[in-house]
Amino acid sequence: MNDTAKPVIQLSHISKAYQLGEIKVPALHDINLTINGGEFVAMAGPSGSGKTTLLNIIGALDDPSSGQVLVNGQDTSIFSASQKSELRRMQIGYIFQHYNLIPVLTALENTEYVLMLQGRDKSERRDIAMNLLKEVGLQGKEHHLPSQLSGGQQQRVAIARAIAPEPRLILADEPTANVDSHTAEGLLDLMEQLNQEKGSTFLFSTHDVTVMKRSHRLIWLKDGAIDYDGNPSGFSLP
Amino acid sequence: MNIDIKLALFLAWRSLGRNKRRTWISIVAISVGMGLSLLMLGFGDGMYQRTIENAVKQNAGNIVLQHPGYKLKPSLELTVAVSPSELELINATPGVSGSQRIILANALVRSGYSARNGGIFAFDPAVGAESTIAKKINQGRYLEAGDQQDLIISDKMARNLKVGLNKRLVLVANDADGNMMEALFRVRGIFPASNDGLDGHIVHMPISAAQSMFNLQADEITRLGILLEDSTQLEAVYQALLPLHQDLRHLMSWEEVLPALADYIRTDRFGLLVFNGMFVFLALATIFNTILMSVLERRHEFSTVMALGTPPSLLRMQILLEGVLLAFAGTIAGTLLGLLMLWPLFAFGLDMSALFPEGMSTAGVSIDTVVHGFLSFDTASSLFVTVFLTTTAMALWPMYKATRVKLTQEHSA
Repeated sequence: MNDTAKPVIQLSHISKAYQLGEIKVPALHDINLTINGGEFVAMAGPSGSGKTTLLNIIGALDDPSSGQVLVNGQDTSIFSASQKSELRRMQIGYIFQHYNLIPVLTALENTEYVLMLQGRDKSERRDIAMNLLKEVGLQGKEHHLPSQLSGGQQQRVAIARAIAPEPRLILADEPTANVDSHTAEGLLDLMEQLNQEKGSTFLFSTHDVTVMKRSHRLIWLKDGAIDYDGNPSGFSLP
Repeated sequence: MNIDIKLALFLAWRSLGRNKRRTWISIVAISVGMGLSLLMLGFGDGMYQRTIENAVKQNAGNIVLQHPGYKLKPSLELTVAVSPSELELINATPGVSGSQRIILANALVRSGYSARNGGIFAFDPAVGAESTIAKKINQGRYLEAGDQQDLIISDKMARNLKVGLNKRLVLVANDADGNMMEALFRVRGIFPASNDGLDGHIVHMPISAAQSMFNLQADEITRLGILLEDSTQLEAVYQALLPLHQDLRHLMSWEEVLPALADYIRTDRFGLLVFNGMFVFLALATIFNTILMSVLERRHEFSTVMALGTPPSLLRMQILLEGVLLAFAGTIAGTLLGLLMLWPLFAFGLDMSALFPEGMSTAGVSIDTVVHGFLSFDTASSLFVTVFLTTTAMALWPMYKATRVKLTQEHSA
């Protein structure tokens, strides 16, 4: 489905600083990064190193202070709000640390949500969502509300929701942070399986060493800059 | 991008359905506000309607025929002549329920003890028997066919003149030619004057006796009151009546004949509307607060759906539709509640005689102590539309606020 060789993310000279009153707090500094289609990339680093900020900029949720962001070859830094909204809807799947399921929708409807936004036919989106929930092990829980699911189950729904439209890029902000290690293993298996089978590009931030080691590429951020970018086996924690 | 209304409606419906407490609070607030407004308007309009009906029966008609100069200078010299055949034609006009010939005059009412000014209302007894004063009589009886030198007076006048039932009184007045006339009458009935005493001077007498006393011809009257089957059809009936009588070009509505009463009703109804507006405002404040709170507490949810690519326009439409659905449900429930509360007033009326044992009057017009509700389609539909639109408008600010969330702050919280 995806062109695995083509770059999905291209960042050049990305910087970001937050204005807190009269103080300017730098969050990212001159980030240059390319991630190709089909990669399974972990982004790690100490708290405050800029992981979430970078994910937000790549996901068009936030704007860089300077630099250029290309997602699937499109320069998002010049996009309007509605263009960014369309980019997120059509090309990016997002998995949040706190699952962020829509509380008034069932697991099935949450999984269908982005497909609804895309205007997909009801029977088509229902088939996709049912199959995905089955794949993530939530068969029989389709009509449960988020409040009726455990944290791990909610995160599985969030993953199903992110991959339902088969986006080229899936961004995950600490997807295993709020689940136990056993559930985290299961979620990583699932993400890796989807990466292998569907060719989806995964970029996820994490603090978890186990998760880092499961990735195919590790990017270590320190003080808003890339400190390491390569095979996880070649990286030793500072 | 075009807004997917179906999807927005689905999300709005689901949001309301899954937040039942909030939804019910909103619907109850709207329906109670609207129900009470309908009750007040129905009660108030019932009172006004009855006041107008009574005024129309006692003093005029929905449409009034009188001499063009009479309004400025009421005088027995300024009469109109309506023949029986003309009266028949007028009564046969579609929309006309009947007519009443009236002679209005002033006279000095004298007993052996004292004298008072009296306002003479002379009717055909059968017509006068429908008046509120006839229904209020608590001593004796009202005028009947065949009565001639008979009068109906108030208890206030009876006390002042120190007369009782079947006692004799003398009426002294100028006739149509300006000559001083006097005639002897017998008190046939006494009615209790209203609290404000404004009807205390009224004297009812048979029209034939008045014509005789004031030296008028049999077809001469000071006023012909034309009563309509439906008071809202005034203009259509007016146009139909115009060719029937040479003086009908001088037709006036009851509002022109009784401007003080019309002004009173307009002013009082304005006050009622202001009071109603306060009810609706209180309900709207609750709605606004509920919708705004529902939006503010869902900032996290909104930031999530926007992060997933929900167009802001779709989100705004969802909030607006939540307001529309609440408004629709609330106004429907409010209408039903209002009608339910008004039903006893429609069916039985509210007997206020315990509060007003001596009768009620408004702007000098005696009205029944049993008040029946009245709710026109125009009033009900206007209130429905007003409440619906203003309630929907309460969603506008929350709708704007919903899309002003900062995505990065909310979903990383």
